[in-house]
Amino acid sequence: MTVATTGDGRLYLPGRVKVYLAIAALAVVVGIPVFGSTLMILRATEVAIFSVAFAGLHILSGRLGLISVGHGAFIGIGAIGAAHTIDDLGVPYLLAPLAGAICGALFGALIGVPSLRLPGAYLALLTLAMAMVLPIAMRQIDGPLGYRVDGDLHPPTWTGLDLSQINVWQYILVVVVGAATLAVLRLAIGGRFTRSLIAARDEPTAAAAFGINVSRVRLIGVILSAALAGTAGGLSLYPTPLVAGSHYPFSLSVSMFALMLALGASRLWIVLPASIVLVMLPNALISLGWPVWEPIIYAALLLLMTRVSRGQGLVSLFERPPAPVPIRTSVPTLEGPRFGGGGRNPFLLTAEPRSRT
Amino acid sequence: MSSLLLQRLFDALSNGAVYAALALALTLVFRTTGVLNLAQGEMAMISAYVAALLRSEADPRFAFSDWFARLGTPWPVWAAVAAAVVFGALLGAVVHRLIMQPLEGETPLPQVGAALGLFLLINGLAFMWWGPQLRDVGSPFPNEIDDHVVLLGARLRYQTIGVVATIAAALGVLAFVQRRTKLGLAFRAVISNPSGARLVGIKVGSVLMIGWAVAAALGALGGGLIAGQLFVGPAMMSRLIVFALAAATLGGLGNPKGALVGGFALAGLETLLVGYVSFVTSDVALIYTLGILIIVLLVRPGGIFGTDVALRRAVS
Repeated sequence: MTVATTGDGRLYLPGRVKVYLAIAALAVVVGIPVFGSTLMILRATEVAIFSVAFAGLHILSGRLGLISVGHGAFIGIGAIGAAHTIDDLGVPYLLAPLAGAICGALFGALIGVPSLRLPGAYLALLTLAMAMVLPIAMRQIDGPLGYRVDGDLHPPTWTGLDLSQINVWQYILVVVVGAATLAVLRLAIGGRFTRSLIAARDEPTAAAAFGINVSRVRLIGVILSAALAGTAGGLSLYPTPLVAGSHYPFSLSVSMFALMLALGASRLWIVLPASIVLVMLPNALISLGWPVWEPIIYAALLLLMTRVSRGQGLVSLFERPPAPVPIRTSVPTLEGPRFGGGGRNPFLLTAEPRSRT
Repeated sequence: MSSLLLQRLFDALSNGAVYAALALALTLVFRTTGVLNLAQGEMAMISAYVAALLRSEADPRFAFSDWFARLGTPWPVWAAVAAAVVFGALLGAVVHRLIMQPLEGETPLPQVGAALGLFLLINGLAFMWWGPQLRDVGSPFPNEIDDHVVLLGARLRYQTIGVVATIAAALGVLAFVQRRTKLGLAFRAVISNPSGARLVGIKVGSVLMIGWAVAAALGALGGGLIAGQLFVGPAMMSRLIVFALAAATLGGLGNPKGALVGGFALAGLETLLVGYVSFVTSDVALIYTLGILIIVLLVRPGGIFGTDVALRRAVS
């Protein structure tokens, strides 16, 4: 079978450069609320929210090799679920991401259970149908204007922020929760579970032979992925307490899938550039007066990158190819003991008889 | 049977025929190349635009209508729909050659990615060129209020009869080609064993290209015919493609007979839900369709006809 391996060749960056990059990133994260304009803080908050959702897509496409065309819809499910949990069940506002994660996970299971026994196209089919139906369903539930959650996130006094700086407080909350989620995920990656995801992707039969329950691993992966998107949905309530179906159109899901596939789903850090593009591109195009070009740009990205990188994305073009695996045949080596003679094997090609200790 | 129930079932027929045509197009492509062509609906949409352009006079607000005007537009409806079908077939062939064939043998990820890219491209271009306005194509069949026959107390519209008959005729031709001609034989050979077919001298690439062309033509026929009821617009297919996917799954993805039955069954169910359950509007019916899709996959993943074609494709 064709294997969608990411390869083991990582993007080549010396350790020092990585440290500099990390420091620069930290400086940007800290600098935005201090020096940035209101608009910039809002955009940065959105980037942080979408990063968490993209992490879900990274698990699904990058680690499991599955396709979701409905991650925007999972965000919407997380958002509307969290909004109603807060208002109807009296859950504290701060727990919105958790509530969103649970709602996302439930719907992930609802979509995953029927489709994962079948070929990969079925998950794509179901998520696509879900992404098309969700805005309509949300409009049916809460009306065309959407639903407004009671309550706001006022900065507590110990922060020293006043009411006019509510956006800074929202930014801090989103970044802290988002970064914590991604950090936990990063720690989990490389662990046993992620290895089983990759095994289930590349060699399902061999994985099953090694005792990995492939369908269960896939289901857990889909649920985790949907839960991450749901978390993003819950997080989106921090800056905007309003949830409407029109915020989660089908095009959002498709754009997310397009970006992840075009940039390369195999690396977790891709979530950051992907969400920056997702948030900034439409705004940049609107300010240029070319909003109609957005889907065409995504389409061009998708068509080009599927062709050039075979679905591995832009990042794969810069990676070193994986070291060739030494070929080991299963033919028995013609050594003595196998032939039971105990003495020198007449077929053995080495000139000297092996010493047998 | 009450005449109201019969009336509703009659009304469902033409929708059913269109769902069936689109589901069949999806199924045809999936069966031959294993690709779930998510852009099937959009390909039908842009073909319907060709019909709309051929039906319009030169109009500066309607992009490209001045180019088409040189062809002596407005054309009669049937000619415009026929031209849309031809355009659809060409589009299908080009899409296969340029986009899908290079990805042959890949995992579903790049294939679905390419199909979605095509979806975005067509949708984006249609929106850029023609905006959200709806265009009228008109029906190739008599479609006035009085154009119906009364059968058992219910009205069967000529439009419905015409749509169903046209699609049935197209399917008849398709079945004939499939069963009785060399091309059909080659087609079946490629489906059951592509490498074997190549060895006996069948040009597999060309056969697959014809498969894509036929599927796209079928979709264009559905799109052109439904344009008589729906109007043409960039979003005309967003609902239809969900119904078509559900119909194809209901009948068993990859099973042509199933797609046909699935299309009519789903349209019937939709009409009955909208007709008899007070809070179900046609939008809500779409939500139920998703529910039906999930239940079918849970209970009978192979669809009503229990096809194994879909399941035989290696789980990747």
